[in-house]
Amino acid sequence: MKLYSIKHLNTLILILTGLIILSSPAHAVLEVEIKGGFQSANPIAIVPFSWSQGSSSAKSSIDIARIIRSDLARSGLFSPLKLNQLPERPALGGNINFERWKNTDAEQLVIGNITPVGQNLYEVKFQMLDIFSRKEMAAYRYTVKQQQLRRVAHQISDKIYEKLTHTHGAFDTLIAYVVVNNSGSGKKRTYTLAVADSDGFDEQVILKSQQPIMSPSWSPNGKRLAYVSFEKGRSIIYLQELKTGQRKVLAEFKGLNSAPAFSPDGKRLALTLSKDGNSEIYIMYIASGVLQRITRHYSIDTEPSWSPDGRNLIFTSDRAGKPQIYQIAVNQQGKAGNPRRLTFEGNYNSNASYSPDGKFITLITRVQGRYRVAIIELANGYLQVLTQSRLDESPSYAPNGKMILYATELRGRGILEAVAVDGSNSPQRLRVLSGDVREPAWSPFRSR
Amino acid sequence: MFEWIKENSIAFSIAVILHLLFIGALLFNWEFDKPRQIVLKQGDIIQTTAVDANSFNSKIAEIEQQKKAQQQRKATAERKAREAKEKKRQEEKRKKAAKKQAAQKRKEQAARKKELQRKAAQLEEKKKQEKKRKEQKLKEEQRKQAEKKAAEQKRIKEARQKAEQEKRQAEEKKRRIAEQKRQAEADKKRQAELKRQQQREQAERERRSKGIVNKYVGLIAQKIERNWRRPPDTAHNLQCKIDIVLRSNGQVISAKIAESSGNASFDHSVETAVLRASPLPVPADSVIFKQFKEMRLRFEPGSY
Repeated sequence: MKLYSIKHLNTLILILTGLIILSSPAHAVLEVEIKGGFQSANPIAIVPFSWSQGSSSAKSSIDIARIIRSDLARSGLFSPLKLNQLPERPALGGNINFERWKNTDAEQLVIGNITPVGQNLYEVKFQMLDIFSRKEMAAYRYTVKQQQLRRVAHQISDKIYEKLTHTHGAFDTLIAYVVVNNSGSGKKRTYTLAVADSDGFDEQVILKSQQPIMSPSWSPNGKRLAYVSFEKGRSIIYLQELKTGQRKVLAEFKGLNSAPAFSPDGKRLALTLSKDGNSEIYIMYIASGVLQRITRHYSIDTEPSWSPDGRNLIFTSDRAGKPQIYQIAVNQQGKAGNPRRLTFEGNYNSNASYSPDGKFITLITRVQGRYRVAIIELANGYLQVLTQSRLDESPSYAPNGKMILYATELRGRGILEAVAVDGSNSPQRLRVLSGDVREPAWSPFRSR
Repeated sequence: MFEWIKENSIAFSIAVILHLLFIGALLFNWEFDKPRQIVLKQGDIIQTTAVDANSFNSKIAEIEQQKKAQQQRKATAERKAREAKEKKRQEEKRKKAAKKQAAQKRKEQAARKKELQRKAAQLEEKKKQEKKRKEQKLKEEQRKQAEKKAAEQKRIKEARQKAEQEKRQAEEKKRRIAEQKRQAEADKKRQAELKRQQQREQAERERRSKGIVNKYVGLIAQKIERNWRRPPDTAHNLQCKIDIVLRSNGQVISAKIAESSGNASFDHSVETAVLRASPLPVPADSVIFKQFKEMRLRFEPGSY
C-alpha cells in the first residue's frame, strides 16, 4: 500500500520519528476469520400481550402471543422462548431491562397490548425490539373485531417473520382440506370440505357430503375452490365461491372428472378426464368451457399442476411402467409439446406441484416402501426427502415457498403436517382434528 | 585633450575668456594704482603777484592816499614782509615741494621701477603660470591618458573577471544541482533505510506481540463463533465482513457490515453474534490492544 509519496517526506519522517510506536491503522486493521457458527432457529421472545382494560370474553379465548409463538415455531426458522424462560414481562412502552434479556437466548423481544375500543372492537398494538442493538425493528397497530383477533395474530407473525427473514410471511393464509368422519354406529361416513387458518384453527365448513370429496384447488385470488365431489354418485368438478357458498359445475364428463388445478391467471383449469378412454390431461377455459387436450397416451396421466409462469404443466404418468413426473409445455394456442420426464429416482413419484418460484417441485416419493414428501430442484434434478413418515400425500407449497403442507398418517388416521422446505425443522403437526384429514391445499396469499 | 576641449568647448572658451579678463584686469590695475600727482609750475605764482600790484596803482583819495600810502607802505612793507615771508615760505614751500617732488619723483621712479619689476615678475609669473599650466595640462593629459588606459585595462579586466565569474557561477550552479540531486538521493536512501529500520522494528515488535495477538484473535474468534447463530435457511456459501470498534475493555462500540453477504438475515446474524459476544477478550497491554481497537471480522459458515 502506497501511503506516503516522496513529496511528504518531511511529514513522513516527522510521523515516523514522532509516532514511531503507532502503526498506521489503515493497513494494520486486524482481520479475524470466524468460521462455523451454528445453524439454528431464531430464539425470539414473545411476551404475552397485556390487556389494557378489565376482562372480556376475548381475553380468555384468544392468546395472541401464543398464536404467534406457534406460528413462528412451525416455520422452523424460529424457536420462541417458553413462558418460563422470559425474565420479565414488560408492558408496551414500559421499561425493558435489556441486560436481563441478554442473558436469555432471545435475540428479539416482541411485546404487545390489546385494548377494547368499542362494541366488539379491539385495538392490538405490538412492537419488536432487537435485544442487542436495542433498536425497534417493527411496530404496528390493528383495530379489529373479536373474531378477527386470530387473524391479527397471524398478521403479526407475518410481520415478525418478514422483518427477520426478509421473506413474505405465509401465516395469514388459509388451508383447504377434506375430513372424513366415521360418525354413528354403522359404517356411515361423512366427508367435509373445510377451510381453516394456516395453523388449522378457525375451521369453516365449505361442503358436507355422504360421498367422497376430493382434490380441493384454490383459485389464484384465493376466493374460490374447485373440487371433486361424488355427491351425485360419480365424479363431478365444482367451482365454489367461499364467501357466498355459491357453486357451479365445471366438469361432468363421461367417466372420470378429477384433479382440477387453476392456471396462474385463473382463466384456465387443468384437469384429468377419461371421457376419451383413459385418463388424460386437459385444459379447460373456464369462461367458455372449451377443452384442450394435453396428453395422448394409453397409460394413466393425471394430477396436473401449473408452473408459476403458466407455460408448463407437470403431471403423473405411468407411461414408463411406474408412476413418474412429467413436464409438458402448454400454450394459449392450444398446442402442447412433448412430455419430458422429470423424475428418475425411485419407482414411485406422484402428486407433484411447483414451488411458487418455479425452481422446485414437491412430490410424493416412495422410499423403502414408504411414501414421503420430497422436493426436486429442477435445475439439477436433485431429490431431497423432507419427511420420515410412512404415508404422506398431497403436498402443497405455502405461497411463500418456505413450507410444504401435506397429509400424513398417525395411528391409522390422517393428520396435517407442515415442513420447512430446507429440511431445517422436523415436520410440524397442525391442529389435530377429530376426523381423518386428507388432501390439504395451501391457499395463495390473502389480500390484506 | 583636444577631444576634451572639443567636447567642452563652451567651458573651455569661458576658461580662456576668464583668463584673458584676469590678465587684463591685472594690467589695468597696474594703471589704476599709479599715483595721481598735481604738478604746480612757478610761473603761475609770479603772475598772480603781478595782478595784485596793478590793482594797487589805481586812482584813490589823497588823504587817504598818504595814509593809504603809509598804510600802503606799511602794508606794503608788511606785505613785503609778508610777501617776503610768504616768498620765503613759498620758497621753502617750493623747495620743500621740490624736495618733495624730487622725493616723489624718486619715489615714483622707485615705484615705477618696482612696478616694472613687479610687472616683470608678473610676466615672469604669468609665464611661469603658463608654463605651469601647460605642464599641468600636459600632466593632465598624460594623467587622463593614463586614466583612460587604466580604465580600458580595468574594463578588460572586469570583462575578463565577469566572464570568469559567469563561468564560475555556471559551474557552481551545476555543482549545486548535482549536490541537490545527490542530497535527494541520499535522502531517499536514508528514507528507505529508515523505512526498512521501521519495518524491522515493526517486525520485531510483531514477533514479540504476535504470540499475544494470536492468542486474543483466537479467543475473540471463538467467543463470537460460540455466539453466532446462523439462520437455518441460509446457504452455506455465504460470507460477510463486518467492521467493529472496541473499547479497551473489549466492549463492542460499533459493528457495521463492511461487505454484505447479500442475505440480510445472514448479515443480521453476524451483527447479533458480535453484539452478543461483547465484551470480547482483549489484551490488557494498551500497545497491543491498539491492534484490536478496530477489527474486521470475516464470517463464513465453513465447510461441513
